[in-house]
Amino acid sequence: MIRRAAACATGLACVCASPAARAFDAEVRADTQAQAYQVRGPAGTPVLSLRRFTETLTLGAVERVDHHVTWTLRARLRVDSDFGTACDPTTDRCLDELNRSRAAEFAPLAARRTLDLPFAYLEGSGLLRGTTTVRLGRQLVTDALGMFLFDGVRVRARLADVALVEVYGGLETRAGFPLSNGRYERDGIVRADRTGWDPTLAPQVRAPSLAGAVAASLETAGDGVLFARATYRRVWGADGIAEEKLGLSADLTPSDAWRVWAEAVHAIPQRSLASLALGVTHSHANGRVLAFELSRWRPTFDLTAIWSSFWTDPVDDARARAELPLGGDWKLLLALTGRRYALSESASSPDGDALPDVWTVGGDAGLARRSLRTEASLRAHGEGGGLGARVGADLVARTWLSSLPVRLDGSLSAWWVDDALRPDRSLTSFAVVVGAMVRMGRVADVALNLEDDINRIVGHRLRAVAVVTLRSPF
Amino acid sequence: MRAHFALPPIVLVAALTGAALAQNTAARRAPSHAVFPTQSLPLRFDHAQHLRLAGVTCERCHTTAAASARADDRLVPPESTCAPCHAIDRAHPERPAAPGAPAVRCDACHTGWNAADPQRVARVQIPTPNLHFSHRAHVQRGQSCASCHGDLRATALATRLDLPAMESCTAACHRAGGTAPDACATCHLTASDGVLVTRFAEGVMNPPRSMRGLHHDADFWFTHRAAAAEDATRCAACHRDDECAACHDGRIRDRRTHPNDYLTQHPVDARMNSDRCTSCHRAATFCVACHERAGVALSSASAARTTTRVHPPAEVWSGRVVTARHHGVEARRALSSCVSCHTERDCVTCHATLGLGGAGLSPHPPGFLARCGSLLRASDRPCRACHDDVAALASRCR
Repeated sequence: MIRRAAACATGLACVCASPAARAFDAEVRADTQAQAYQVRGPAGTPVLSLRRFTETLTLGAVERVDHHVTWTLRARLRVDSDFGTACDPTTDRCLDELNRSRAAEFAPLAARRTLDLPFAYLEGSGLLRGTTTVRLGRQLVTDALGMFLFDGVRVRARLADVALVEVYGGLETRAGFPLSNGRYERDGIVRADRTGWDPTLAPQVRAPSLAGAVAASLETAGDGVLFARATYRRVWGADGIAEEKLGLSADLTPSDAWRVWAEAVHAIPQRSLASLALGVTHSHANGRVLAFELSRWRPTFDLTAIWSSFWTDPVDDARARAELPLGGDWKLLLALTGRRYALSESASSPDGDALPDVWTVGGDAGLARRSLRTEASLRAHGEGGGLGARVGADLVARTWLSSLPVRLDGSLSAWWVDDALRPDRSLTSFAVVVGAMVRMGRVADVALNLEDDINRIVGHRLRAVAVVTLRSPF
Repeated sequence: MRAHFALPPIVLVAALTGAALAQNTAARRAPSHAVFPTQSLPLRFDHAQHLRLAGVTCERCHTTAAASARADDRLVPPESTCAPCHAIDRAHPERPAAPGAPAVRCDACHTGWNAADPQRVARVQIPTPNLHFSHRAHVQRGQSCASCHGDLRATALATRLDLPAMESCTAACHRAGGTAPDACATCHLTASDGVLVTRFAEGVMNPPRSMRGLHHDADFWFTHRAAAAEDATRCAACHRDDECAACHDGRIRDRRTHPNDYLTQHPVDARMNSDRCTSCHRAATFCVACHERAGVALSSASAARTTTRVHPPAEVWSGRVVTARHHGVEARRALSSCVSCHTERDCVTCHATLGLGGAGLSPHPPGFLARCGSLLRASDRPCRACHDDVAALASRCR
């Protein structure tokens, strides 16, 4: 394996190779994103003038050893910088957010620069006569239990063409560790690298500690009518078990037209159903799609956080949607959603009456056209109920010019927001976005977008985003 | 789950499943335009008529097909293949065929042929398919022409609709445990890192509906979670990890998900749909970081903290009378929203037991004692935050 890794690394160093197919191939992609925008506190101060600069390098290399075996190396490295400030525009005084000796101004999660590794792994597939895939390194897993990032090894093996077994284990990627961010951790714990901090400074922020993770899953193999998968995962650290869940998913696709699926997650120490979802979809050969989905979920948190033992009520969702082809490249989308916060399922207090449920209803209507050169859509959304309301629409269009490798982007929005909890924050908002992307052959894309948000609270708020993408071969 | 919630979906799913199993699914799908681009066939030709003739087989005219190993090989018969039967006379292209003899005029086959410009016919244009394909490999494994192209004895002009759609390949041989490789790259073109190429000048590939929810319909952007959660390894055939990371761990607001000026309306959306936020944002990292800096969080630095009250009046939000606007009810309804601003310490201040300086107000649900044992055994850290005698708890919790 070391020899394979060395071969991949050597190949990556030689990305000047031609794009022709061969046993070893590599690809490098660099993305540079720059954005500038403002965030105002509810009282108008402070004003965060964010000037963010993100550089991402993504590597991919593949070596096909024989008919079955392929070795793949994938890695992504990101530098995220924020040169912004938090200032009071009336006094022109800016907070010293990064100065740990000024507790009154210190923002513990603010950082000038972060360096992280979203993933980096070596994978061998088709091993053991094509039955097994092994992945080693930092990797992202997505399944019924959600997305999970860890450093370790994952083995996926086919058992006699009827089942697949997957086992993985390692260390969970947590905020505060080198080259890590806490994006995929369970919610509830604020972590950061506290090296050099005064112990009394920002006590709500905890230093990271190592957390082991093991998981196993069993699923049906092949493209049969029925698919089913069961997954168990456990994450534990110095404070005990942080997560222990069992996930089940099943899918019945008896024909091109029908699909029925279900998914459930059981939180084991909480002894409760974290989520349950059922869906059925009918797709007509003419492109018409009708779907109906039901779900129930309850938020879950890191078991080492106090929130995991708090009283939470389930939330039920029902959604019906339809996609109707209108001829040409046009499609009409319609959706209706109902949500129930099931407060009535438990008493408000041991001696009190149950509270009534909170309901929200919503809907979407969209008209979309998509062709090779042009995309246009009008999407309206509305939802409301006991928690407020939000109604609005976005008109989005993008088109490639016929004579130039240039794509023009534009968007118009109008939204009305009713904040039931804070009526003074209710408003109508308008926004306009214009942008363009220039494609420089297969090697580079350069895009620029400017957004102007207009509402009575912020007046005009400008947001500028520039993205440069470079791809190998250079 | 209560029975009244569970029963309707079960009945619905059962009914629809029954209907699905009962329906005829034999309808043939057209192949993808991205894989087999649109062709121009200015021809008049009848396969059925030819195949009725004695001795005429597919191989008789498509002489090079059985040995073809590449998808870009030209397999349409040239004029010389027709000539043994059709006495084509280029010097006199307008001359009719003898009675009872096969047609000989150009316009017998070439539609739009113009006698005023007799040496020119409209070109047959069959773009190279965007896939790997070897007729030879299939013939060597005993496949007949009809097994992929269907029975052309009832077909006049064969078009791209007579080319096989993926479902027929996967149903017959290219499947797990089948007689042919099931890897996508067996047939589909791949980028240099092994991921399928899905965008071509002629169109964008889209998984067929038979592939368990992977078909990208117009709402797929908002519904792909279920497909990814079910079997993400299938997504990986066409999508790299960085495509997931670009949004789920991204640094630029995606306008497909968030409307313009979302910053202004995000509090209302988050209050109504905090579950959707968590698919890309971790409250205790992403939300807290910004809320602290903007002065919204109780843990914000004192110089940044807003003077505006974020919540309803204290007597409503924290009073003894519990209404729908009480913070306890809001927490029950959407605790993730609380976590987006508050740290544990904010809650412990009041909810800790008297012994630890709190007010002893329990945040636990009714019946908690009957199931807190497993939580305590998983981690006693949260218990210690509010309770001074965890050992005593261990004896009370089941």
